[in-house]
Amino acid sequence: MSEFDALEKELAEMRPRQPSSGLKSRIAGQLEPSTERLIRTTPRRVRIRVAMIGGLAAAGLAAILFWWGRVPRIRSDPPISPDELLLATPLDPYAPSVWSYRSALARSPVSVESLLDRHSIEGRAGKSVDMNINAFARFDSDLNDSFGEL
Amino acid sequence: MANTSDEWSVWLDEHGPALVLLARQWVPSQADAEDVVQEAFIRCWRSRERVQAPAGYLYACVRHCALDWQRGHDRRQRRESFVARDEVEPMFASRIEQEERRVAIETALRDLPRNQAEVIVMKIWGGLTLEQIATALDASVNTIASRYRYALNKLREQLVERSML
Repeated sequence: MSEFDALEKELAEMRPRQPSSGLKSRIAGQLEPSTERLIRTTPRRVRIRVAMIGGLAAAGLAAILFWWGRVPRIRSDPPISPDELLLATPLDPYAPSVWSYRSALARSPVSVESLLDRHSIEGRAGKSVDMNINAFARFDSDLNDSFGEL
Repeated sequence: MANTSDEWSVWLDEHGPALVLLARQWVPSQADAEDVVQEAFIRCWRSRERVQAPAGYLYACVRHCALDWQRGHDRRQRRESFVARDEVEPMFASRIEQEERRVAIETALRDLPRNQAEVIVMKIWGGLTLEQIATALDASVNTIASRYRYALNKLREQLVERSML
Protein backbone atom coordinates (compact mmCIF):
# COMPACT_ATOMS: atom_id res chain seq x y z
CA MET A 1 0.00 0.00 0.00
CA SER A 2 1.47 3.38 -1.00
CA GLU A 3 1.63 6.39 1.27
CA PHE A 4 -1.19 8.00 -0.69
CA ASP A 5 -3.37 4.94 -0.36
CA ALA A 6 -2.85 4.92 3.40
CA LEU A 7 -3.66 8.58 3.68
CA GLU A 8 -6.74 8.24 1.45
CA LYS A 9 -7.93 5.38 3.59
CA GLU A 10 -7.44 7.34 6.75
CA LEU A 11 -9.24 10.35 5.35
CA ALA A 12 -12.10 8.21 4.09
CA GLU A 13 -12.55 6.84 7.59
CA MET A 14 -13.35 10.32 8.80
CA ARG A 15 -17.10 10.90 8.69
CA PRO A 16 -18.33 14.39 7.80
CA ARG A 17 -20.93 15.70 10.19
CA GLN A 18 -24.49 14.84 9.34
CA PRO A 19 -26.68 17.74 8.32
CA SER A 20 -29.36 18.70 10.78
CA SER A 21 -32.86 17.31 10.41
CA GLY A 22 -34.03 20.84 9.76
CA LEU A 23 -32.21 20.89 6.44
CA LYS A 24 -34.23 17.96 5.17
CA SER A 25 -37.52 19.40 6.32
CA ARG A 26 -36.72 22.78 4.75
CA ILE A 27 -35.87 21.15 1.44
CA ALA A 28 -39.01 19.05 1.64
CA GLY A 29 -41.00 22.20 2.25
CA GLN A 30 -39.63 23.80 -0.90
CA LEU A 31 -39.93 20.76 -3.12
CA GLU A 32 -43.51 19.94 -2.16
CA PRO A 33 -46.41 21.57 -4.02
CA SER A 34 -46.98 25.11 -2.82
CA THR A 35 -50.49 24.52 -1.46
CA GLU A 36 -49.43 21.56 0.61
CA ARG A 37 -46.42 23.47 1.82
CA LEU A 38 -48.57 26.46 2.72
CA ILE A 39 -50.92 24.31 4.75
CA ARG A 40 -48.12 22.42 6.40
CA THR A 41 -45.87 25.35 7.20
CA THR A 42 -48.53 27.85 8.26
CA PRO A 43 -48.88 27.92 12.04
CA ARG A 44 -52.05 26.43 13.45
CA ARG A 45 -53.25 29.66 15.04
CA VAL A 46 -52.88 31.50 11.72
CA ARG A 47 -54.94 28.83 9.98
CA ILE A 48 -57.63 29.15 12.67
CA ARG A 49 -57.73 32.92 12.26
CA VAL A 50 -57.96 32.66 8.49
CA ALA A 51 -60.79 30.15 8.85
CA MET A 52 -62.65 32.42 11.29
CA ILE A 53 -62.28 35.49 9.10
CA GLY A 54 -63.42 33.50 6.08
CA GLY A 55 -66.45 32.20 7.98
CA LEU A 56 -67.40 35.67 9.15
CA ALA A 57 -67.06 37.04 5.64
CA ALA A 58 -69.23 34.26 4.25
CA ALA A 59 -71.88 34.84 6.94
CA GLY A 60 -71.89 38.59 6.23
CA LEU A 61 -72.27 37.98 2.54
CA ALA A 62 -75.14 35.58 3.16
CA ALA A 63 -76.87 38.16 5.39
CA ILE A 64 -76.51 40.85 2.76
CA LEU A 65 -77.96 38.59 0.09
CA PHE A 66 -80.86 37.63 2.38
CA TRP A 67 -81.62 41.29 3.16
CA TRP A 68 -81.41 42.20 -0.51
CA GLY A 69 -83.93 39.52 -1.31
CA ARG A 70 -86.43 40.95 1.16
CA VAL A 71 -86.31 44.58 -0.02
CA PRO A 72 -89.43 45.41 -2.14
CA ARG A 73 -88.51 46.62 -5.56
CA ILE A 74 -90.53 48.42 -8.23
CA ARG A 75 -91.50 46.10 -10.97
CA SER A 76 -91.93 47.32 -14.48
CA ASP A 77 -95.39 46.46 -15.78
CA PRO A 78 -95.75 44.69 -19.06
CA PRO A 79 -96.42 47.02 -22.01
CA ILE A 80 -100.04 47.84 -22.66
CA SER A 81 -101.34 46.99 -26.08
CA PRO A 82 -103.15 49.70 -28.11
CA ASP A 83 -106.40 47.76 -27.91
CA GLU A 84 -106.24 47.76 -24.13
CA LEU A 85 -105.61 51.48 -24.18
CA LEU A 86 -108.62 52.06 -26.37
CA LEU A 87 -110.84 49.95 -24.17
CA ALA A 88 -109.57 51.35 -20.92
CA THR A 89 -109.77 55.03 -21.71
CA PRO A 90 -112.84 56.94 -22.92
CA LEU A 91 -110.66 59.63 -24.49
CA ASP A 92 -111.08 60.89 -28.01
CA PRO A 93 -108.42 59.13 -30.07
CA TYR A 94 -108.39 62.02 -32.55
CA ALA A 95 -107.95 64.84 -30.07
CA PRO A 96 -104.49 66.45 -30.15
CA SER A 97 -103.13 64.86 -27.00
CA VAL A 98 -100.04 62.94 -25.99
CA TRP A 99 -102.20 59.93 -25.39
CA SER A 100 -103.65 60.00 -28.92
CA TYR A 101 -100.16 60.30 -30.44
CA ARG A 102 -98.85 57.45 -28.34
CA SER A 103 -101.82 55.33 -29.33
CA ALA A 104 -101.26 56.13 -32.98
CA LEU A 105 -97.57 55.39 -32.65
CA ALA A 106 -98.37 52.08 -31.05
CA ARG A 107 -100.60 51.19 -33.95
CA SER A 108 -98.36 52.11 -36.85
CA PRO A 109 -96.31 54.95 -38.31
CA VAL A 110 -99.05 55.46 -40.89
CA SER A 111 -101.52 56.16 -38.10
CA VAL A 112 -99.18 58.80 -36.69
CA GLU A 113 -98.91 60.41 -40.13
CA SER A 114 -102.62 60.44 -40.61
CA LEU A 115 -103.17 61.89 -37.13
CA LEU A 116 -100.64 64.63 -37.80
CA ASP A 117 -102.35 65.44 -41.09
CA ARG A 118 -105.70 65.54 -39.41
CA HIS A 119 -104.55 67.89 -36.68
CA SER A 120 -102.78 70.05 -39.21
CA ILE A 121 -105.95 70.41 -41.30
CA GLU A 122 -108.02 71.16 -38.21
CA GLY A 123 -105.58 73.81 -37.12
CA ARG A 124 -105.71 75.56 -40.49
CA ALA A 125 -109.49 75.45 -40.46
CA GLY A 126 -109.52 77.69 -37.40
CA LYS A 127 -110.47 75.20 -34.80
CA SER A 128 -107.51 76.14 -32.70
CA VAL A 129 -108.02 78.75 -29.98
CA ASP A 130 -105.68 81.74 -29.84
CA MET A 131 -104.84 82.80 -26.35
CA ASN A 132 -103.16 86.01 -25.19
CA ILE A 133 -100.27 85.45 -22.94
CA ASN A 134 -99.51 88.33 -20.62
CA ALA A 135 -96.36 88.76 -18.77
CA PHE A 136 -98.01 90.75 -16.02
CA ALA A 137 -101.05 90.11 -13.98
CA ARG A 138 -102.45 93.62 -14.54
CA PHE A 139 -104.07 94.74 -17.76
CA ASP A 140 -103.07 97.96 -19.49
CA SER A 141 -106.08 99.80 -18.12
CA ASP A 142 -105.05 98.92 -14.64
CA LEU A 143 -101.58 100.16 -15.38
CA ASN A 144 -102.94 103.45 -16.72
CA ASP A 145 -104.91 103.87 -13.53
CA SER A 146 -101.90 103.24 -11.45
CA PHE A 147 -99.85 106.01 -13.11
CA GLY A 148 -101.72 108.51 -11.05
CA GLU A 149 -100.59 106.80 -7.95
CA LEU A 150 -96.96 107.28 -8.91
CA MET B 1 -31.59 11.27 -10.64
CA ALA B 2 -34.87 9.44 -10.65
CA ASN B 3 -38.23 11.07 -10.91
CA THR B 4 -39.98 9.74 -7.85
CA SER B 5 -41.06 12.35 -5.37
CA ASP B 6 -38.96 11.05 -2.47
CA GLU B 7 -35.89 10.28 -4.54
CA TRP B 8 -34.39 13.57 -3.51
CA SER B 9 -34.44 12.34 0.07
CA VAL B 10 -32.24 9.38 -0.87
CA TRP B 11 -29.91 11.75 -2.65
CA LEU B 12 -29.73 14.06 0.31
CA ASP B 13 -29.00 11.19 2.68
CA GLU B 14 -26.26 9.95 0.40
CA HIS B 15 -24.57 13.22 -0.47
CA GLY B 16 -25.72 15.61 2.27
CA PRO B 17 -22.72 15.26 4.61
CA ALA B 18 -20.19 15.66 1.79
CA LEU B 19 -22.14 18.59 0.33
CA VAL B 20 -22.14 20.39 3.67
CA LEU B 21 -18.45 19.61 4.06
CA LEU B 22 -17.80 21.06 0.61
CA ALA B 23 -19.72 24.21 1.51
CA ARG B 24 -17.69 24.49 4.70
CA GLN B 25 -14.62 25.13 2.58
CA TRP B 26 -16.06 28.61 1.93
CA VAL B 27 -18.60 29.06 4.66
CA PRO B 28 -17.53 29.25 8.30
CA SER B 29 -20.41 27.69 10.17
CA GLN B 30 -22.37 24.49 9.81
CA ALA B 31 -25.69 26.40 9.78
CA ASP B 32 -24.57 28.68 6.96
CA ALA B 33 -23.22 25.69 5.06
CA GLU B 34 -26.60 24.00 5.38
CA ASP B 35 -28.29 27.10 4.02
CA VAL B 36 -25.97 26.97 1.04
CA VAL B 37 -26.66 23.28 0.51
CA GLN B 38 -30.40 23.87 0.76
CA GLU B 39 -30.38 26.51 -1.93
CA ALA B 40 -28.06 24.53 -4.19
CA PHE B 41 -29.93 21.27 -3.74
CA ILE B 42 -33.27 22.81 -4.67
CA ARG B 43 -31.82 24.53 -7.71
CA CYS B 44 -30.15 21.32 -8.79
CA TRP B 45 -33.19 19.15 -8.21
CA ARG B 46 -35.49 21.39 -10.20
CA SER B 47 -33.17 21.33 -13.20
CA ARG B 48 -32.00 17.74 -12.85
CA GLU B 49 -33.66 16.52 -16.03
CA ARG B 50 -31.57 18.85 -18.16
CA VAL B 51 -28.30 17.55 -16.74
CA GLN B 52 -26.41 14.52 -17.97
CA ALA B 53 -24.16 14.10 -14.91
CA PRO B 54 -26.36 15.03 -11.97
CA ALA B 55 -23.97 13.96 -9.22
CA GLY B 56 -21.21 16.25 -10.39
CA TYR B 57 -23.77 18.97 -11.10
CA LEU B 58 -25.01 18.77 -7.53
CA TYR B 59 -21.53 19.42 -6.17
CA ALA B 60 -20.98 22.16 -8.72
CA CYS B 61 -24.20 23.82 -7.58
CA VAL B 62 -23.06 23.76 -3.97
CA ARG B 63 -19.71 25.21 -4.93
CA HIS B 64 -21.39 27.96 -6.94
CA CYS B 65 -23.81 28.84 -4.15
CA ALA B 66 -21.01 28.83 -1.57
CA LEU B 67 -19.01 31.25 -3.70
CA ASP B 68 -22.07 33.47 -4.00
CA TRP B 69 -22.52 33.34 -0.25
CA GLN B 70 -18.89 34.26 0.29
CA ARG B 71 -19.13 37.24 -2.06
CA GLY B 72 -22.17 38.46 -0.21
CA HIS B 73 -20.47 38.76 3.16
CA ASP B 74 -17.88 41.09 4.45
CA ARG B 75 -14.49 39.48 4.22
CA ARG B 76 -13.25 40.68 7.56
CA GLN B 77 -16.35 39.58 9.39
CA ARG B 78 -16.19 36.23 7.69
CA ARG B 79 -12.59 35.71 8.71
CA GLU B 80 -13.29 36.62 12.31
CA SER B 81 -16.31 34.40 12.53
CA PHE B 82 -14.42 31.62 10.84
CA VAL B 83 -11.74 31.74 13.53
CA ALA B 84 -14.28 32.15 16.31
CA ARG B 85 -16.31 29.14 15.28
CA ASP B 86 -13.36 26.98 14.43
CA GLU B 87 -13.23 25.40 17.85
CA VAL B 88 -16.91 24.84 18.36
CA GLU B 89 -18.04 23.62 14.96
CA PRO B 90 -16.02 20.67 13.74
CA MET B 91 -16.36 19.47 10.17
CA PHE B 92 -16.16 15.80 11.06
CA ALA B 93 -17.82 13.59 13.59
CA SER B 94 -15.30 11.72 15.70
CA ARG B 95 -14.95 9.78 18.89
CA ILE B 96 -13.03 11.23 21.78
CA GLU B 97 -9.91 9.19 21.08
CA GLN B 98 -9.91 10.50 17.50
CA GLU B 99 -10.35 14.10 18.50
CA GLU B 100 -6.71 15.02 18.09
CA ARG B 101 -6.56 13.46 14.67
CA ARG B 102 -9.77 15.17 13.63
CA VAL B 103 -8.43 18.58 14.59
CA ALA B 104 -5.19 17.91 12.72
CA ILE B 105 -6.96 16.78 9.56
CA GLU B 106 -9.40 19.67 9.64
CA THR B 107 -6.56 22.13 10.10
CA ALA B 108 -4.58 20.58 7.28
CA LEU B 109 -7.62 20.56 5.04
CA ARG B 110 -8.34 24.20 5.80
CA ASP B 111 -4.77 25.14 4.96
CA LEU B 112 -5.06 23.68 1.49
CA PRO B 113 -5.76 25.94 -1.49
CA ARG B 114 -9.48 25.95 -2.15
CA ASN B 115 -9.19 24.39 -5.59
CA GLN B 116 -7.33 21.46 -4.06
CA ALA B 117 -9.51 21.12 -0.98
CA GLU B 118 -12.67 20.92 -3.08
CA VAL B 119 -11.18 18.11 -5.17
CA ILE B 120 -10.28 16.19 -2.01
CA VAL B 121 -13.78 16.60 -0.59
CA MET B 122 -15.50 15.57 -3.82
CA LYS B 123 -13.22 12.58 -4.35
CA ILE B 124 -12.87 11.16 -0.86
CA TRP B 125 -16.12 12.06 0.88
CA GLY B 126 -18.33 12.68 -2.14
CA GLY B 127 -17.26 9.51 -3.90
CA LEU B 128 -17.00 11.19 -7.29
CA THR B 129 -14.59 9.98 -9.93
CA LEU B 130 -11.93 12.26 -11.33
CA GLU B 131 -13.94 12.49 -14.54
CA GLN B 132 -17.06 13.58 -12.66
CA ILE B 133 -15.07 16.17 -10.73
CA ALA B 134 -13.53 17.43 -13.95
CA THR B 135 -16.99 17.87 -15.44
CA ALA B 136 -18.31 19.59 -12.33
CA LEU B 137 -15.42 22.01 -12.13
CA ASP B 138 -15.14 22.48 -15.87
CA ALA B 139 -11.50 21.40 -15.95
CA SER B 140 -9.53 18.64 -17.59
CA VAL B 141 -9.14 15.30 -15.91
CA ASN B 142 -5.38 15.77 -15.82
CA THR B 143 -5.76 19.06 -14.00
CA ILE B 144 -8.05 17.49 -11.45
CA ALA B 145 -5.71 14.52 -11.01
CA SER B 146 -2.81 16.91 -10.43
CA ARG B 147 -4.75 18.93 -7.87
CA TYR B 148 -5.71 15.76 -6.08
CA ARG B 149 -2.13 14.55 -5.99
CA TYR B 150 -0.83 17.93 -4.77
CA ALA B 151 -3.52 18.05 -2.12
CA LEU B 152 -2.72 14.61 -0.78
CA ASN B 153 0.94 15.48 -0.72
CA LYS B 154 0.34 18.63 1.27
CA LEU B 155 -1.99 16.91 3.65
CA ARG B 156 0.52 14.21 4.24
CA GLU B 157 3.31 16.73 4.88
CA GLN B 158 1.23 18.68 7.35
CA LEU B 159 0.11 15.61 9.20
CA VAL B 160 3.70 14.39 9.40
CA GLU B 161 4.70 17.74 10.83
CA ARG B 162 2.09 17.24 13.49
CA SER B 163 3.26 13.65 13.92
CA MET B 164 -0.08 12.30 13.00
CA LEU B 165 1.22 9.82 10.45
